[in-house]
Amino acid sequence: MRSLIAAIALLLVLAPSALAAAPTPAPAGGDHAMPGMSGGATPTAPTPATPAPVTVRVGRRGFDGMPGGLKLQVRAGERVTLNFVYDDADLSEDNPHIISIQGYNLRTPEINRANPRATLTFDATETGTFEVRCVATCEGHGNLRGGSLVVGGEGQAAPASGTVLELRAFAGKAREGTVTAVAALRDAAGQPVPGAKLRFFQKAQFFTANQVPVLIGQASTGPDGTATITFAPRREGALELNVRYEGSPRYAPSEAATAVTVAVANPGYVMKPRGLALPYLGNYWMWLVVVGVWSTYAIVVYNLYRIRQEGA
Amino acid sequence: MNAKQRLHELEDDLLRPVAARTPGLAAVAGALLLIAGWGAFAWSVQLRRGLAVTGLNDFVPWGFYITNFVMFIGISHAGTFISAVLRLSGATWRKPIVRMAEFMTIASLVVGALMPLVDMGRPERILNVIRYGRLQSPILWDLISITSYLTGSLIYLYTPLIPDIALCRDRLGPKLGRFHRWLYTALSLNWRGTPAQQRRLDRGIRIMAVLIIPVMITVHTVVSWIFAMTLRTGWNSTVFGPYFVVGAIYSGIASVITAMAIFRRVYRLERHITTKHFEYLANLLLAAGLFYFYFTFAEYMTMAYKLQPPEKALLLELLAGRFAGSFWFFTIGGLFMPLLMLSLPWTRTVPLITVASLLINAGMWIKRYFIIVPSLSLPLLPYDWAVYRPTWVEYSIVIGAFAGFAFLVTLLTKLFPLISIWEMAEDVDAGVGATASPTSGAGPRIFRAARWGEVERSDFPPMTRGNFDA
Repeated sequence: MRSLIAAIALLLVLAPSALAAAPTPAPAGGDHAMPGMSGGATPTAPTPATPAPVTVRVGRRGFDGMPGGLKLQVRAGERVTLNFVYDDADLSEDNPHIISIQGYNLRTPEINRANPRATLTFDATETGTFEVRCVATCEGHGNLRGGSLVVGGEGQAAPASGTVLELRAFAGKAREGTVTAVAALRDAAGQPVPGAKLRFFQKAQFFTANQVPVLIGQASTGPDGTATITFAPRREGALELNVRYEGSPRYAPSEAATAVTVAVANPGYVMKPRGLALPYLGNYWMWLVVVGVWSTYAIVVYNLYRIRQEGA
Repeated sequence: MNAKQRLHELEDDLLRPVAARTPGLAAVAGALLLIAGWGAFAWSVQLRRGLAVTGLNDFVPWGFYITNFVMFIGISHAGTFISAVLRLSGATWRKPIVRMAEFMTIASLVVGALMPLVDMGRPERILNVIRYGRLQSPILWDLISITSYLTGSLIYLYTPLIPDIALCRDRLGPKLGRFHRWLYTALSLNWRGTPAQQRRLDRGIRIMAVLIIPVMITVHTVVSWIFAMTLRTGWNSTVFGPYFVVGAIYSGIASVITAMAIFRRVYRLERHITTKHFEYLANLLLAAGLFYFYFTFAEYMTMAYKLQPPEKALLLELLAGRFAGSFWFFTIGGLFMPLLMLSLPWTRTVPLITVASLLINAGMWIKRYFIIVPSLSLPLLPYDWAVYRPTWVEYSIVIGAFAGFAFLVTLLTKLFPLISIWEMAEDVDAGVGATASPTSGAGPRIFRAARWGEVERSDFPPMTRGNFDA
């Protein structure tokens, strides 16, 4: 009897802990149940952490009066509030700005003398580094570029799953001069990861001493976890391709590389002259007109030469 | 006074500007040279430090310099129009003003052709246009047409000048100094006025008079196509070719009137450049102005009727925005007021016609400015308007260019007769006044021989500088 009571007591103590430890499967629609809740509770979205709003002055001298940038760092999943304040009130003419966060596709309304404040509030769901810049044509435009918002970094909880990225590339047969690159993204369990944004790079010498990766395209994975791009390389020979996945709160970033040999490169856009072309003459008929005019000049100059000869 | 005496008096009058000392004019020329020199200094600053010293930027790469370029190419049309078109139409009243107009054509082409080089920042890159230019490019057409026009204008100026240079060689060269003697001897091409030489001269003048007209029309049409062959709002227009040509004639004639008023006064040529010339040119100016008004109205009306969003934005900026001041100054001060002054009988006096021409010149410069800059400032993507603020470098170069142009014209008037002596002598020879009726080349041989600088030199007293000192 005593052992039975002890067993029942042990069961009553251990059961809630066991239930709390079991991961709750994510219900359809994207809502995630909060840890510790029982299965019968209505799942609600986790409340993002809310750091204090950041106020940034925006003017011709740069962000907060400094050219070359603004550095913001937030943790993934946080709710970010950025207040932008007009800093060109000392100018005699209005100098409006529109601040954009690339990658998040966020943009403030026009910040100017009449509307000197604008606020962006968003959840930092995508990790990575995103440029913050002014996209209006304004005085001091160069000083309002190069700002960055870094999402992730220290304090970021490790993603739930590692990923494996594979890349294959082959020269197109249907369209000569093209290369098709196919990347497949899978999680640690080998399951395809749909809806992930992949970026494809080609190593090239682009105004640099060494070969650097140059972005040639981006694509999102489909339901089968693959993403495909087709591009036209400008040179023949061996090309080194890379594909990168920047990661998300759920999946770790990963990268893959491959090489492909291009036999026939696309020479690029060559504009064939259109218009102004005559049959057989092409555009060179214009030279006929010019030659005609200058020949007439030559006749007149010859007459002047003969005037001189006859007067000698 | 018989014809011989009238001829003598004519030659004295028309050679005086070349032979006489004019210290006042020399001082003015010196000042113009200083201002042009300041403009050259500003250009040297730009060459050393780059276009960053100007207000030009990625969005507005064309500003004051290209405005000046279009303005000067426009002024150059007056010489050809007055000289060639009026010659072919038999308007003999043109004779006293033809050469002055041709001087202005040469000077304005030289200065105007420099402006794109200044605008390039790195002028040596003009060679790239020649080495790598594509026949489909209006820039290359521009280079070819302006070069052709400058060459043709030089030939067309020089050819009728030969008899007068021979006259200067015979009458002035020995007294003026070694340089003048060398210059007149070299440029006179051994002119003796023989029938064979005369035939060749007539042929050359006739050929050039016919050829230079289509070249003139082509030049400013091609200049307009630098704008019209783009897809920019405000530039993408089919009417730009004739619009610019008419504008060129309008501003060119106005410039000639201004120059006429100045040189007539400075060189005391009131007997030869009379009120009638101002009135006739005023008539031409009025006609050109009305055409220009018509083109301007058609251009803006077409935009305003359809009101495509970019064109609406451009029109609002022109009519009521940042460029409203320039637009209304041109419309009222450069178009309506001068046309009114030229059409009302009580305002068709020499001073007021000159004032009208000055207003037209100022208005047309501003018109070219707001053809160029607002269209460039209009955003191509949904950003805000670009800003163009010219700096002291641009102001200096533009003012220096105008000073250089005025200096070149003044220099030419001091080297060569401002009025075509042999053409004016044709009227004397025909027994009519200095400014009147069609020439026939008739009259006693002695006068024609004297006109061409042949033997009867003893009929006239030797020319010395002392005869002409002011």
